[in-house]
Amino acid sequence: MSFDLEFAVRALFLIASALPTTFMLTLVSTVCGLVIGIAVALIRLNNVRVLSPLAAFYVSFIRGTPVLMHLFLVYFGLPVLIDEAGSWFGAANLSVRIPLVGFVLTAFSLTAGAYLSEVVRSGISAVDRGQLEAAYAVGMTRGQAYRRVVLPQALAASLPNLANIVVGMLHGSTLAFTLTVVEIFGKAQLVAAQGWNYLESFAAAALLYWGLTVLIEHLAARLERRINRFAKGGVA
Amino acid sequence: MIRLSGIRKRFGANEVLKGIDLEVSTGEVMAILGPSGSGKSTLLRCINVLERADEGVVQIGEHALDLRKASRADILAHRRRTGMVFQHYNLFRHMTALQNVMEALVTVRGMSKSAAREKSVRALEQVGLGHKLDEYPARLSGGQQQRVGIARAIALDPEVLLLDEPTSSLDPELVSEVLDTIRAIAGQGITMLIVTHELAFAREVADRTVFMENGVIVEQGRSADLFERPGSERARQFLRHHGGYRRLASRQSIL
Amino acid sequence: MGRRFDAAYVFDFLLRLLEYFQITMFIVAASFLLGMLVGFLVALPRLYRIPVLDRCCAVYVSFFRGTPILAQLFLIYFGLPEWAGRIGLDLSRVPALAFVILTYALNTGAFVSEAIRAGVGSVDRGQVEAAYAVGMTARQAFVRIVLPQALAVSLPVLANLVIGGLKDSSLAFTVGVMEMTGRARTLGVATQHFIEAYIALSVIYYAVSLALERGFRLLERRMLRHEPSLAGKGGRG
Repeated sequence: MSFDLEFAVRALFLIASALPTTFMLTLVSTVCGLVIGIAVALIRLNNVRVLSPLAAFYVSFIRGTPVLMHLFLVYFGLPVLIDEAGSWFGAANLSVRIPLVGFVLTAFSLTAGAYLSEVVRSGISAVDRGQLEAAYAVGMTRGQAYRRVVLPQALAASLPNLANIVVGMLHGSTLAFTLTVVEIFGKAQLVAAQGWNYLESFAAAALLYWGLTVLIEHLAARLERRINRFAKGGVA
Repeated sequence: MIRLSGIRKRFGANEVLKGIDLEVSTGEVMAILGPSGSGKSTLLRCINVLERADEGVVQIGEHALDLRKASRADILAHRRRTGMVFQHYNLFRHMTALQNVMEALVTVRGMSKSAAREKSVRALEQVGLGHKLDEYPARLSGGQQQRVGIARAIALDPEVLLLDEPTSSLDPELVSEVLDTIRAIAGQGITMLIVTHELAFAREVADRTVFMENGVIVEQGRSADLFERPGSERARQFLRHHGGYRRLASRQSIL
Repeated sequence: MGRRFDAAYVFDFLLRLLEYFQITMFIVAASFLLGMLVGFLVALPRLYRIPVLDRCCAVYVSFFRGTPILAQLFLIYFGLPEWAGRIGLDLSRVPALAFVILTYALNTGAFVSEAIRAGVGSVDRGQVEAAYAVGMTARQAFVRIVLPQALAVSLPVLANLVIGGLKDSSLAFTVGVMEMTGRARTLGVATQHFIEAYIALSVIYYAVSLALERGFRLLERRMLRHEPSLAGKGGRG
């Protein structure tokens, strides 16, 4: 056939060496994004005075602009802010000390945060108000009620959407190469350029992503089934 | 008129219709009663081939349809002779009441829009919904939706009207408006088969009644006879169980 | 990196970037329309359970939803001509724009087909039976009754796909298509005022996606006016 299977398999292994970077990018940004997302969701749900409209704008802006923009705005804009702040403290040119991957993670976390905040918001809204009332009735503080009763149920309800976002961040990690952080996709380009076998290299990379995506969806489905087993009620 | 011969239908290992023979004369109203699972709805749905019977013949007027060998064209022609009113109304939700009635006249019968509109308005006025022409089903009560369903069926001038438990999904207070509509339609001389649980209504409106159980016709005859003097033990049991109709019937005769 | 921040550049860049607005919107529109066509064709075998073909379509959908768009873009832009070359076809004259639109159409098509399947599934079977009962053919029932309602219900998802297409268009420059993002980059390189260029660019993307969102919300309200409980709720929080 006109497809060099042997090279493709070799390329697959070469490319897979960058898997840890991809994992790290995806997971760190998702986790940080979740923290941001929960904070933002709570701010909006409780209509905190100054922060709420700011949070709404943040979410709207992130969702209305490409991820590449987030990356570039952080990469080019953060140093400006940091250096301004740094010059007040007498430490000039702090920004050059920050590794590229730091910019990438910051940008991706902000991206994830906005999308996750929507997921958390709808998840929390889906939790019956009666649950909160019952928590107050047994004497919990608001913090305890949210932490022990509402958020766990909200997260369980949002599992499919969470999985979608993780997949989205996995796919988005390909953009890291524009800032020369070498994850799977960046590696694929290097491999392709070296061997002049673009078709096989990118096919291998695509296959890798496909496999990871299917895996994530699978795990999410299993997790959902386990959680819903407890939610079903009854004795059996 | 409509004649059913040897209708058989099985779902997997379960034989739901075990050879049904039935004849309804032109202009006659026939009620089909029986416990759930007796096959009444399946029988009706076999008549207009929404369910494909395993064997049997349905003859409407001079046209006979062999249910086993019927081609798609035969079935389409056959369906043009029947009209159906569904338990769950099944109105086209993205169309207004008027559009619901007009749709088949234009799309299936090839009428012009203006002619279809005229006919549809008349049908809707006939069922008492002349003032709801431009309402979407979501804004109509169950009883109103069902009446639109009836208008949609009769606007096509079917030779036979099939009604599959027309009031079973309705809130009790909406049942009578639909029954009134059906009564009025029946009075105009259209051939009807009604599957229903409304025994008092069946007794009053139907010329003849059929009692089914377990896929066979257990008893049939003139409604008055069947209700007063049921011949079979099963029919007797059924009527006794649902006998509330007797009280209803006698109350109506007093009023 | 670069010179000190100068807000005046932002406004200047805004105007220069808008010169390439047409190309961007062309990419978005062309790939979405083609994607709708592809999505529709791909949904049919699965809706009607045509053997073999429905499995192929399922694999296609899984692939284009399961891989990053950038990977798809590079695979098709670099890989397709290479493979074509091996079997004797010369694709070197084909403009990069064509590859971009092809990739985006295939990508969008996968999501569209899922949206159509979900939309069709949401129309209750009873209406189809009523359509048959009044004498419609299967084709008439699908075109007149099922499809309009399926599309109306899928509108929020389709709107998201269009806006997603707008955002994905920012990646076209990686294969040499000069649209707004590519322009922003060259402006940045030329003037060393990168942040201003990307601020201007972000403003444009933001404004356009807000406008699209608003437009779709209005369209939704009109198309779903027969279901007052659903209209205006939209798919976005």
